[in-house]
Amino acid sequence: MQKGRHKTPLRISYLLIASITVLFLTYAIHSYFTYDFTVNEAKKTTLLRNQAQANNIMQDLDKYIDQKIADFHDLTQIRQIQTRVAESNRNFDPDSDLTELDSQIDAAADGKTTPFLKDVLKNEISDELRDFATAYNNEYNYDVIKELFVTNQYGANIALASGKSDYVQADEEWWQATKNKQIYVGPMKFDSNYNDHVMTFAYPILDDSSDYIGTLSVSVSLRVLLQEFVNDADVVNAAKKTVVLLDENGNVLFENGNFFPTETPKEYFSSITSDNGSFEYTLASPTFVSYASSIGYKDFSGSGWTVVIEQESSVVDEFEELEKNFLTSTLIGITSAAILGVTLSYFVTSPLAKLSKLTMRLGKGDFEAKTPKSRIAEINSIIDSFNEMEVSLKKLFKTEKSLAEANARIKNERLTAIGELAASMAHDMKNPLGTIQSGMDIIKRNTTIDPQIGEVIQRMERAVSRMSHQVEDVLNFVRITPLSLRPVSLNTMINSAIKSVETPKAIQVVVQGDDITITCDEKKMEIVFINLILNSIQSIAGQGKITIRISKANGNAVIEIEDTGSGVPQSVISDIFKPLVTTKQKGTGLGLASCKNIIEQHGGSIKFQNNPTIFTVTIPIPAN
Amino acid sequence: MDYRKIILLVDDDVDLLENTAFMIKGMGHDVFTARDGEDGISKYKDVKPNLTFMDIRMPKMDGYDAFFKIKQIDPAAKVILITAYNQDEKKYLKAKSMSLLDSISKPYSFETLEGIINKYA
Repeated sequence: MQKGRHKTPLRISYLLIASITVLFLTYAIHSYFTYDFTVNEAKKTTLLRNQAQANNIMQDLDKYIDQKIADFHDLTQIRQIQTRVAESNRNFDPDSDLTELDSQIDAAADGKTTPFLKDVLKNEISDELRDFATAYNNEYNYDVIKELFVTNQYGANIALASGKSDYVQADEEWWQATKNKQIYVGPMKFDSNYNDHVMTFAYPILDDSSDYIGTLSVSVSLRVLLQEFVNDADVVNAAKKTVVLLDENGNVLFENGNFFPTETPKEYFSSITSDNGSFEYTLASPTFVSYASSIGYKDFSGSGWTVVIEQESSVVDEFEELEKNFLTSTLIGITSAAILGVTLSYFVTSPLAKLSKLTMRLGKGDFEAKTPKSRIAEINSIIDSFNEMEVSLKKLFKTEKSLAEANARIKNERLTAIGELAASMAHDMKNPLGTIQSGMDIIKRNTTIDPQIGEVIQRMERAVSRMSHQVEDVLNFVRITPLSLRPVSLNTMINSAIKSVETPKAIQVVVQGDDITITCDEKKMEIVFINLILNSIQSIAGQGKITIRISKANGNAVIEIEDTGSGVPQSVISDIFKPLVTTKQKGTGLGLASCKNIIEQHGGSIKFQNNPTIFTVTIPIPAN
Repeated sequence: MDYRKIILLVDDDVDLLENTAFMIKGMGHDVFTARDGEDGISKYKDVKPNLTFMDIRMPKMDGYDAFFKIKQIDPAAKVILITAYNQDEKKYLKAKSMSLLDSISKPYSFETLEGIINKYA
């Protein structure tokens, strides 16, 4: 056989703790993955943004340099310069005039020997260019133009506006480039003459027919070119990022507001492998590095420099803080769930348990049970309802009880009245019955009677006998009198009862068992057996048998009266010992009720069963 | 010993009283009758019966009280009470304690009367 599994009922508190824990764990796991994703996204975004910024700055720088190149180029368009250069070419004797001097010529000093050179320093072109340079320097409030001069088509310096310069430039690479009508953009280099980093641009000067007639060379301080860049860098630096400018060898040109802060190349320079990109690198702390290399702009083919934006990766540290917060809040959540569970258990579960005990007590009829107030309003309202129900139930039970009592009293009073009336009537009938009885006796004894009349008299005697039995029934039932106890032989008493009942010849009466002497009121007890035997006789139609068995059991005398009659109809079985219940036309319905009264008065009991019909009388045998 | 006895019958039911008297006379005894308790007591004093049959329910004085009076007058009086079932338990118990001979129930038969008289009178 398979037994049903017993499931332990869940407690609200456990359920609560479990569900809140699951909730918080789900939240934590979700948060963890979301966090991971967010951090990566944040990194990516930061790197991309920095890279875009680096691109912009680099582009601005290239554009600015290109613009500067264009600015100086404009000088070659000046008609006066072109004229003077052409003139110089005509007057110049390359064989005698193109001899390098012992020392460089200086724009600030005079007194060079060759007559031609006097013209160089004090001519219109020099004045013109010097004005330009002065204006330019004033604009930057800094000596930005280090060298500015013009050569003729033979490479001789014919106009020096500022700085120092060799007289003959024909051997220079840049001069050769311009002679081929190309604009020269020199590399950035340190010039010890000016104690500054400079960059040299050289432009071919062309005549109207685009023929090469001379060269204009200008060397400018790096600061001029980086002016825009420094502004950009300041803006970016304000956002806690460091802007670094590296040259083609990884040397630092500019970092954090300083030019040439260090002489060592950047350690991560080897990681810069393409035009632009991003990577993480650990400097003093983990750092995001984004870079963009110069790609040039229009005429400017690019400097080979790289703009780098460094940003400490601690910008994503706040996310790590968040991660810790997730953990803490999860732990706090689970702990508070446990506390909540215990609290709920205390405030809800235990009052509920008390309520269930109260209900059990109520069910057992204890209406005095009370449950103490809880601190929870909802529980209290349930407790109040229970207490109200208890009061109502109590009232209901009380009402029902008094109603039942009233009913019983009324019934009793009516029965008593009927009983008294019946007793009085029965007694009053006895005198007339006595007269008839004695009258018949007298007639029988004092006259010679025709046998047919004799039978009539016998019928009358039977009628009187029946009437007097019924009267006895009524009186036996109504009048419960004290017992007149004495030892009586059951055998004798039962046989006497059998004799006093007229038994039809078709019915056999048998008494079995050993005789027992009981202590009883003989007259009353005989009435019991007479009644029971009469009942049996009346239930048998035609042939039949009545068996009376006497036995002992548990200190009791047990008398069973069994008959082969029709038994008792199912409808009256439960009422069989109640007064006025009868199935017979001749019956008063008092016979069995009287029997029960008498037997119970003797401390015994009477039981009944159908199939076969057996009445069982049990009477205690007194010890000794 | 005289075979002929003096029997006193006390009953308020005249028909029954006369029939019973007739039956007892038929047995060959002298019968006196009375119709209530008081009458019964005075008759008892007069005739000194060998045996008295006394009904219980009677007007003026009931059978018990008449029995008690008779017993006061003659402690050796032989009285049979005619009773259905005892209507007054206290008086019945008192009567038993005052050596009531026996009690019989109505309706009684010739044989019952004859047996009682032969036994006690």
